[in-house]
Amino acid sequence: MKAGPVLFFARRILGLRVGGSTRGVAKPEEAPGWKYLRGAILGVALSIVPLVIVLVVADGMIQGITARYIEVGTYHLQAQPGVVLDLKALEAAASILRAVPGLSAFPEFQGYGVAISGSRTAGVAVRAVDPSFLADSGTAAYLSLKAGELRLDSTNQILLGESLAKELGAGIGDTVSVVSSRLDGGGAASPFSPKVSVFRVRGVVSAGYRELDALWAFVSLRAGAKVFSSGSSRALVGIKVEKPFGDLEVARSLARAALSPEWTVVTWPEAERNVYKSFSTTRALLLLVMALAVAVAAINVSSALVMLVLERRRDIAILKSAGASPAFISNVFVFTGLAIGGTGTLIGIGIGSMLAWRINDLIALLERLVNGASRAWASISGSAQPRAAIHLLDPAYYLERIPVRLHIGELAAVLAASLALCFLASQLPARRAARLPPLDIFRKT
Amino acid sequence: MSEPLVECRGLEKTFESAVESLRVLGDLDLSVDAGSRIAITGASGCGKSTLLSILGGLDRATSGSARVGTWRLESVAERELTEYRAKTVGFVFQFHYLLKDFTALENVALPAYMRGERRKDAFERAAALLSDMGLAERLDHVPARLSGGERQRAAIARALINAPSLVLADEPTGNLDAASSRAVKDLLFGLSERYGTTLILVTHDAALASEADLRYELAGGRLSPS
Repeated sequence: MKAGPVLFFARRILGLRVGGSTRGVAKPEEAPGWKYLRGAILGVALSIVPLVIVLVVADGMIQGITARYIEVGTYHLQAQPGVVLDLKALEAAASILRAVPGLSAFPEFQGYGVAISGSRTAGVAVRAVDPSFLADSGTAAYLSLKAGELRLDSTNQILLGESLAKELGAGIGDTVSVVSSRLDGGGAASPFSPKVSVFRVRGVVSAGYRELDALWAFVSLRAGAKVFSSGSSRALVGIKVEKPFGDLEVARSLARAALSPEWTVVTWPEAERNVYKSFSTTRALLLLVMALAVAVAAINVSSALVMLVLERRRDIAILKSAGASPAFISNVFVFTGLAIGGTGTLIGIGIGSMLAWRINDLIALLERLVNGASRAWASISGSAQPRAAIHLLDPAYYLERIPVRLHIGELAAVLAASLALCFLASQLPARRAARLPPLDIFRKT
Repeated sequence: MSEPLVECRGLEKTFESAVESLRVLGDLDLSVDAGSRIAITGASGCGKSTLLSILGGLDRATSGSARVGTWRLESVAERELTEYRAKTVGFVFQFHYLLKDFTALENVALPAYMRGERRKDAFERAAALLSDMGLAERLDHVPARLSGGERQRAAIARALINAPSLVLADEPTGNLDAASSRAVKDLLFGLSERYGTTLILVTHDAALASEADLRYELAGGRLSPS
């Protein structure tokens, strides 16, 4: 069957006329069925707007949060030795990886201990890092300096996470002791022996997450080798590449080829599987809930088409008596459903993208409005103690700004999914229209 | 001698409902030669329109056989009836049944366009046909802007656009004034002669029926010459 006549008839149902002069043809807004169609288009558009915002914002937040994790914590890839390594061997492995084009390598020891400052103590995750890690642009972008300097020039200097520093009551220049355990393997009852290392606070840093800032302390790689024995810490070489969200397999292969076989190279999605899976699951659930709204809108499209079929019964009977096949009639209403869905979706994507694009400004505006109203209420009610300002995006936990990037592929997938839903929703009224017996309609009209 | 275009044998149509069974046509025989024009008269409710609906593929007989050309309507599949209606018959109804949102030109061109003809060709032929019927100035008028006679002329043009071998007209002048009735009558018979189309018309209009080659009266479910 040719599509031309179907489109010709469907366009008229939608109140569209392309070219040609007419006398007495109703404008779209005057066409009787237009009110159902307009409502259905609006329904689809309104259901698509939050879907697009959630899609863009969730993607932005996940990417923003993930970027912070992998730049200051996990690295883009990690080379993990299968054997116990000393400082020299770890630095040698990092040198090998640095020689591979496109890879930056950062040797690191990680261990746990207890930090003591005056009478205060706190558990601490000590990260013994190479100076190049602190100088790296990716690290600098997400590890912000709150006080002091972002440098570790000697083995007795330490950088404290902001919350950890607060908990210990330690400031720049203060002394902090770290009690760690060393695996000595002596003949004592326990193979571990405690070691106390004394540091002076060189800087206070923040990774953007309170839980990390409450745990992390950075010391130099050489200091790490002293604080922990080879067996009581974890050694790794962090690897960074140009595009951490691209394909990491090439980088993994290059790193594997460069290192000896006992090394394992894992990518950040593998190393942070749980966190990443948690983000992905949350995003999928949010999208599912939003998709339900689109499904409801699609049912609305179906209802509009049912009304349209009822209204166009006489036209259907006329067409059938003039030789229109059931498939022709069915296709007219399926096309009408798709046109409603397509128009609504495109409007929804347009509005949703626009709002998502300015989401940071919108949040800021909302915060200003809420806080302004709160202050006004406090002054009217004579409250002595004004409430603390509300931050929808608390930088202590999330991001200061949501990175927004519109993915054309994802928006195209939204359009395709919405059209598929509208296609399914139009099947019932379309089939009903196709089955209408023309004679019965003529008798009734 | 050539075979008749339309042949009905023992045609019966009974409408069943929960409370009664109404036999409208019973043991009806009809034979119509190609190119002839016949008129069927009869009292209201005697089954004239039902007979046209069966011959037009819009309804099925309860029993008996009805053949139009090579189409055996009692056994043809529902899907094929679409093709039958598109190619073999043209309907003219008492109430013009034009599509209200379409212009006269579009109403006439649509059956040809739906049948697979190129849009340009279908519209050109429709325009020529409407001009033949004196509607050259009304091509882009919707039905609401046409007079009763003009609407019926447009409906006749629509019935003829696919060059059907059989035109079925159900009270084509039933809703028209005398002048319009005369114009429609001249048009129906004139075009039937010009295109060699077989015409079966159902009417209460004695003047219209008198123009037919053969006249039948439908009573008691059967046809008899009148």
